[in-house]
Parts: sequence; structure tokens; C-alpha cells
Amino acid sequence: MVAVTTLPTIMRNADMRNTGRTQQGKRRLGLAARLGLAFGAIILAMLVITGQSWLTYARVDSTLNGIVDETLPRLDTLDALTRAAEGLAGTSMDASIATTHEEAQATRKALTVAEKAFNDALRQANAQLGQTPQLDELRVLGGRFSALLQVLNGAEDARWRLRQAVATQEASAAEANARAQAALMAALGRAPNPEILAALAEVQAFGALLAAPATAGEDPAAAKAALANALQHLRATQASLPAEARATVGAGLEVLTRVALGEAVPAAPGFGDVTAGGLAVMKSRLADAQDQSTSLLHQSAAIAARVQKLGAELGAQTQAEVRTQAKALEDVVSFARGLLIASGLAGVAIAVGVAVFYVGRSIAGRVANLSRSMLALAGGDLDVEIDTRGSDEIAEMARTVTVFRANAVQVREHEVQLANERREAAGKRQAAMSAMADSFEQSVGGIIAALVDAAAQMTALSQSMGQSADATAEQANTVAMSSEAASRNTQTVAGATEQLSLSVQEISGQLQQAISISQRANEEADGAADMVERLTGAAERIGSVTRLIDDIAGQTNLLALNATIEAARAAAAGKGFAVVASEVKSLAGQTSKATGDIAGEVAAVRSAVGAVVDSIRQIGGTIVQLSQVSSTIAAAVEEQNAATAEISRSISEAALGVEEVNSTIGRVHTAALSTGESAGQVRASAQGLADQAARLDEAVRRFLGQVRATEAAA
Amino acid sequence: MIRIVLAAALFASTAGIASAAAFKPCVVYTEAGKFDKSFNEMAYDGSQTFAQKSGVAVAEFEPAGEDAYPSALQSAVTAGCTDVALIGFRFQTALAAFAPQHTDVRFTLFDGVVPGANVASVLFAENEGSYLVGVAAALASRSGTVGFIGGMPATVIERFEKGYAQGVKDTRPDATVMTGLVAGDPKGFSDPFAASEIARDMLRHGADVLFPAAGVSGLGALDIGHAKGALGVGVDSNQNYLYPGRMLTSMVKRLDVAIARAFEAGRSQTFTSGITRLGLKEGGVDVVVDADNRAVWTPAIVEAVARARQAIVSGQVKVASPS
Repeated sequence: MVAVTTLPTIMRNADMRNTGRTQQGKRRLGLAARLGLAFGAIILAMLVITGQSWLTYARVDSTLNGIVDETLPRLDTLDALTRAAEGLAGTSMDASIATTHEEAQATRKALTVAEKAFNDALRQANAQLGQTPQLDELRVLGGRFSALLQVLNGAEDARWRLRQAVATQEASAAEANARAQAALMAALGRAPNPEILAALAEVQAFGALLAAPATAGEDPAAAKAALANALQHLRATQASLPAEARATVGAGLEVLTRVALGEAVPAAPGFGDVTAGGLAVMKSRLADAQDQSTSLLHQSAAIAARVQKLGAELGAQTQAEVRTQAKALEDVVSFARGLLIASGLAGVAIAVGVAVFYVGRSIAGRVANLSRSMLALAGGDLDVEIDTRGSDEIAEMARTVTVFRANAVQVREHEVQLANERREAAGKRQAAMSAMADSFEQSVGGIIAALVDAAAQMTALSQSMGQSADATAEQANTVAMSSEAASRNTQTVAGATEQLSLSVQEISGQLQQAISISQRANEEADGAADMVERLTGAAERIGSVTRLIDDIAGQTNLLALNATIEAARAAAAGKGFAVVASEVKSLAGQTSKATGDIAGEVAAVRSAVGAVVDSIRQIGGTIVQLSQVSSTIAAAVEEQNAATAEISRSISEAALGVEEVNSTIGRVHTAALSTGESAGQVRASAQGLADQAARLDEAVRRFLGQVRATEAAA
Repeated sequence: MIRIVLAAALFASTAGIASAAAFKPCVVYTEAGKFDKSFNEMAYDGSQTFAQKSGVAVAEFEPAGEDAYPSALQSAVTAGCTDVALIGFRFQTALAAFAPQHTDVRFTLFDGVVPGANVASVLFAENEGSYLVGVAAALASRSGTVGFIGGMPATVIERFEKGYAQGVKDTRPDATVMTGLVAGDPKGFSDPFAASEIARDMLRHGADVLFPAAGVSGLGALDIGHAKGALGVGVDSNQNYLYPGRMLTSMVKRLDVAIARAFEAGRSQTFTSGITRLGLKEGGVDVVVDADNRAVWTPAIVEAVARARQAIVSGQVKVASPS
């Protein structure tokens, strides 16, 4: 059995290894690879999350950078621009209210600084803020302011120079005028003269004319001409003055003329010195410069105000932009937060999903399934489903389990086959036993029946045999005792048969032994035949016993004849005895007849024993056949043979008992000879014999019944 | 094959280095600085345009005054400049002394003339641009009297004056052109009050269009013109924005175009010494019409100026020039 199943298993394993190898060749995703893939998926998810976070933060970063790199410098620029604009406005204001030359100089310097700062800021803004209407306008305003400032510088320079020159000239003019007036007053004091008086008035009027303020835009040439005209008149008047006054007034006039009309300069190209041309021209120019300065300062204030306003607008605009950017940043950050939470959850979900659905289901679940399948297989459920899908190690295990299952199925099939074979063999064995029992019953039953009949006849004979027959019967009791022993032996047979049945039960576990036992059974069957032949011998000896009985019967007949003769001699006294003698004579005749019958029966027994021998031979043949059918059954049959041998032995013991019966019968003979009561004994013996035969018959029947029952049970 | 390409690339790059080594453009501004909103700023704009287009940085020098001009030139040469642009005729004297000592350096003088094999003198046909200004002024003037204020006696100023006067007279023969000079020396370019006084005087005498060609001084004249209701004309750069609606036009000298052109010549080794004159035809000078002065330009002015331009470009009209 082991060999039977092992070989295919090995072959199968070899197949397995082959398939395993091919599977391995085909296998692309082992457990490690799958787990690697699962972790790879998780890591990938993490990487995706990380990448997403990075991208999001890059967005945040770029937005922040946008604010830091663009907006902040823009704010700085705007701040600078606004401060420059404020500086412009402030210095413009300062310049417009400057009262001293130094103050004016300082404020103009400040204005220039402010203008430069403003234009620098503007250039910076140009690069930083790009094109906006406000900036365009600021650029224009900056240009205007620069131009304006340059003009203002010129006007202011001229104004302060003129103011100084005018003050100087006015002072010297006033001094000359005063000196001239003093001279005239002195002359008037010396000699009152209407001409001197008129001259005094004229000088005073000239002084007033010289001191008269100019208005802006006034033609300096006209003013100068008026002065020249007045001077000419003064000179004429001076010429008519008394001598002492004339000189002083003349000197004053010289000074006044120089002051009023300026130094005579050689003709040169261009405008020339701003302080040239005399007091009138200077005062007119001073008025112009004053006027222009005022106008320019107004303009500058207006521009500064406008610049301030535009700066504020730009600031507001940039502030709004910053707010928008901040809002965008906030949105980006909140979006990023949401995205991160979402992607984190997604990552966790992916990880859990991979763990549960992939590792759990695909690996742990499958391992659990496989474990269940294996448990079921171990529990004997060979129909259990084994999932061999996939190409990893679990699938390989599953395939291996499939091989185990196939082996188990084969083992079970083999067992079923074995059981069927065993059942079949048992059936055949039972049939053989039954047949054997039947033939045994037929043969032995017939013998027993014959024995019974003979005993019955003996009983009848012995009854007619009288006291000697009683003795004979008494001895026959002993025979019955012996027969009891035979019966006990028969019981031993029954015990042996039980052992046989036990052996039969052991057969399945002792197959190898069974084979040898089967062989031994075969040999012992032959032995049994010999035994039975010995039984034949015994039967023959029964025949000789019977002949002895026949001789006894003949002698008894002679005795009876002698008794009849004696009775005849005794005449009437022996009349009754003669009747008895004739009865004994007839009994002896009957006994003789019975022994003849027994001899016939013994012959029948002999032929029956021959039949038994044949049967045993047949059984031996059957055993050989059985051993041919199955080595297992052969063993059983050999055991059966052994049992049969036991039976044979019992029978031979029974034969010994019969021998004892023989000797007893011998003693019956002597007893019959000595006491004449042997006939009664014979009768009793025959009666016992009949009883024993019946019991034997029953025992044999029971034995056969047991044999059959045992067979049926087996 | 790859080696050949590499070799070619190597050659090209070394050639590039060689040419780069042989070319370093520099600008020397006047003391007004590169952000003077006028001549210097235009030069600055032009050099920046060139730098952006060519990828070659332009070095800049800003002397503090006329006395520092020679040292600024020396600094430029010491710094390795190969092409030095000088903004304004006021560099004439310094350059005339300096250029012959540095024959390996190419100088480009704008608005002035200095002889020398390594000096390119770029002049603008201010007379042509000024002629167009004169045409417009003659038609814009109600009084028939227009004024011109020059900074100082100089040929370049004369070109302005002559072209302007010719344009006025050609358009309106009965018109009067008053002329004035701020000063006899370069101070005339930085005395706005004097120009203002000249302008006041001209306005008193009926002028209602003022064309100052006197640098910063001109601003004073324009201020007065604006204050008294006369039209002004900007000069060198577009100054229309100063008084929107009160400017007739600006006679611009395209120094930005000229300096880029000069540097390009230096870069492409096509530098030519001698005098170059950039006129209307070359795009060197022009009158500006933009949002600030469009309202002033009546269809008659537009039409007459277009005609005059055509006539000058075609050579039909010759604009007088002192040199």
C-alpha cells in the first residue's frame, strides 16, 4: 500500500517540482515583490503627497516671493517716491516763504536735493512699478519740476543779486541825493534863490523817481529813458546853479547818473550782466525775478501737491495689490492646507487600502483561506476548495496542498477499493465456509443420523438383552462419559473456532503473517486429510468392534441354544427358562443383525470420512484458490485451516473416545460373559450413545451454526 | 563631425572674445549729467538701447565740469574704452588735444568738429529741423513776429537761427524774426533768468512764438512764454510735455539714434572718421507732434510742414547753413 501510493506521490512531487520550476520561471510577482509593490504604492502615495506639498509650498513660496521680491521693493519705491514728493512739497513751501538770502539759498539747495531724490525715486519706480498712468504723469511732473527748478534757480539767483545791487545802488544814490540836497540847502541859506529852490525840488523829485518801485513786466528801457531824461533836466538845472553849489550838486549828479543808468559797457553779444543797466533796469528786473519766482513757487507747490496725490494713489493701488496678494496667499495657504489634509487622508486611505485589501486580502486572507483549506483537508474533507490563483508563494503552497489532497483522494480510493476487495473476499470465504459446512453437515450429519439409528437399534437390542445387556448399558454409560469428553473436545473446537474468528479479525493487520499462515493452512489441510484418514482407520476399528459384538451375539445365540437344551432337559421346570432362552436367542440374533448393520454403518462412515477427506481436499483447493484471490484472504483461510485442523483433532479425540467406547464394549463383553447383564448395559450404553449422538448432532449443528455465523459476521 | 562643430564653436567663441576685447563702448556726458532730460539723457537712452540690443555694456563718465573734461577722457581711455562718444561741442577743445595722443581709440564727437583719423564728428542738420519749426511758427503766429533765443554765439546755434528764420520767411515773408543771445559764452546755456528777460522783451515787442536754443536757459524763456500766453518750442529733446497746449513743437536732435549708430559702427569695425551730418533725410533731426501739441497744429501747419519736409528731403529747398 505504501509503495503503491508513494510512487505516484514521488512522481507527482517530481511533477510539482517541475511545475514549480516552470511556475517560478513564469512568476513575476512573488510575495516579496508584492509586498514591495504594496509598500511601493504606499511610498508612492507618500511621495505624491510630498510632491504635492512641495508644489503647494512652492506656490506659496512663489506668492510670498512675489510679495517679498516685487511688492516689498515696490512699497519701498513708493515710500521713497512719496517721501520725495513730500520733500518736494515741503521744500517748495519753505522756498516760497524764505525771507533772507541765506534762507533762500538753503531752501533752493533743499529743493534741488528733493528734486534729485524725487527723480531718482521716479526712475526706481519706473523699473519697479512698470507703466501706470500715475507713473507716466509723475514722470511728466518730474520733468516739469526739474525744468521749473532750474528756472527758479536762475530767477532766485538773479533776484538776490539784483536785490543786493539795488540796495547798494539805492544807498549810494540816496547819499548822493542827500549830499546834493544839503549843498543846495546851504546855498539857499547863504542866498535864497528861486532857482536853487527849484533845483532842490528837482533833486528831491529825482530821488523819489529813483526810489519808486518797479512793476514786473515793465519795460526797463522806458524806465531808464525816463531817468535819463530827468537827469538831463537836472544837469541843465545844475548848470545854472551858483558856483559853490554847482560843484557839489554836479558830483552828486555824477553818482546819481552812474547809479540810475549804470556803467557804460562796451557792446557785447548777449544779454550781459543782470545787474548792468542802472537802477531802473535792475529794479525792473528785480520785479520780474520776484514775479517769476513767485509764479514758479506756485507752480512747484501745485506740482508737489499733484505728485503727493499721485503718490498716494499709487500707494493705495499698491496697497490694494498687496491686499489682493495677501488674500491670494491666504487662499493658496488655505487651499494648500485643504490639499494637504486631503492628500494626507488619501495617503492614509491608500496605505490602509493597500494594507487591508492588498496585504490583508491578497496575502493574509489567502494565507487564512489556505490554512482553512489545509485544516479541512486534515479533517478529511477532500472536496475542500483550494484557491490556486496567482503566481506567488501562497499560490505555490496552495498548489502543493492540492497535491496533498490528490494524494489523500488516492489513498481513500485505495482504501475503498481495499474494503471492496475485502468484502468480496469475505463473501467468497463465507460462501466457501458455508459450502464446507453444508458438506460437513451432510457427511457428518448422515453419520450421526446413522449412529442414532444404530444406537436406537442397539437400545432396542440391549433392552432385549436383559441384565447383561444392562451391564452392557452400564458400560455404555461410561461410553457416554467418554462421549462427554468428546463433546468437551468439540467445545474446545468451538473455542478454537472463536479464536479463528479473532484471527480473522487480526488478518487485516497481519497481512504478511497471513500469507505464511495461508501457506501453513494449505499444508495443514493436507494434515487434516491424513487425520480424517486416521478417522477412517478408527471407523474400521469400530467395524472390528462390531464384529466382536457380532461374535458375542453368536456366542449369546449358542448360550441361548444351550439354555434351550437345558430347559428341555429340565422339562416343565425349565419351561419358562426355555422361553427366556429363546428370547435371548432371538436377541442375539437381533444383536448380530444390529452389529451387521453397524458394520454397514461403519462402512458408510468410512465412505463418509472419505467424502470428508475429499471435502478437506476441496477446502485445501479452495484455500489455494483463496490465496490466489488475495494474499490477505489466503492468510485468513489458512487460519481457517488451522481451525479446521483443530476440529479434526477434536474429531480424532472423539475417535479416541470411541476407542474407549471400544474398550468399554470389550469390558461389556467380559461383563456380558460374566454377569449376563451386559445386554442391559448395552441397552443403557446404546441409550446413552443415542443421547450422545443426538447431543453430538446438536453440537455439530451449533458449531456449524457458529461457523456460519462467524463467517457471516466476518 | 562633432569635433568640427566644436572647433567651429570654439573658433566662433574666441573670435567673439577677440571682437569683444577690441570693442568697449563708453559715453562721456557733460556736467549736466545723463538724466538732464535733454541732450545727455537722449545719449543715455540711445546707449542703453544699444547695450540691450548688442549685449555689450556701455561704460559712462560724468565729469563735474568743463575743467574735468580732459581727465574724464583720460579715465575713459585708462578704463580700456575703444569707442568713446562725447556728448556736445563743448568737448571740442579737450578732444582736439587728446585724440592725437590716443590714435588707437575711436572718438565720436556729437555737435562739434574735431579733425583726426580717429575722430568722427557727428553734426545734426539743425537748420533743416529749425526750418520746419519756422514754417510752423510763421503759421501759428498771430502777430507775425516770432522770436529766437540762442544760448551763445556758435555755429550750431547759428544753424538753428538761420534755418528757423528761413522757414519763417519762406512761409510768411512779412513776418519779423527777433533774435537774442543769452550770453557771449557757454554760460548762456545755463542762465534761464537772462533768457526769461529776453523773452519778456520779445513778448513786449509783439512776438508770440519763442524758439529758444539755449539749453537750460531756454526753459526760462519757455516759462515766460507760457506765463504770457506765447507758444514755445522745445529743443534737442521732446519738451512738449513741459507746457501741454502751450508748445508749438520740439526740434529734436536724435542723439539716441546717432549714438547707437556710432557704437554699431565701432562694433562692426566700420568706423569712419570725418564729419557726418544727420538731417531730416537721415532721421537725425525732426519736429515732434504729439498729444501735448496736436491741438496747436492746424491742418494748414500740418500740410505746410509736410510740404516743407518733402522739399528739403528731395533737395528742392536748400536750407542755409553757416558751416
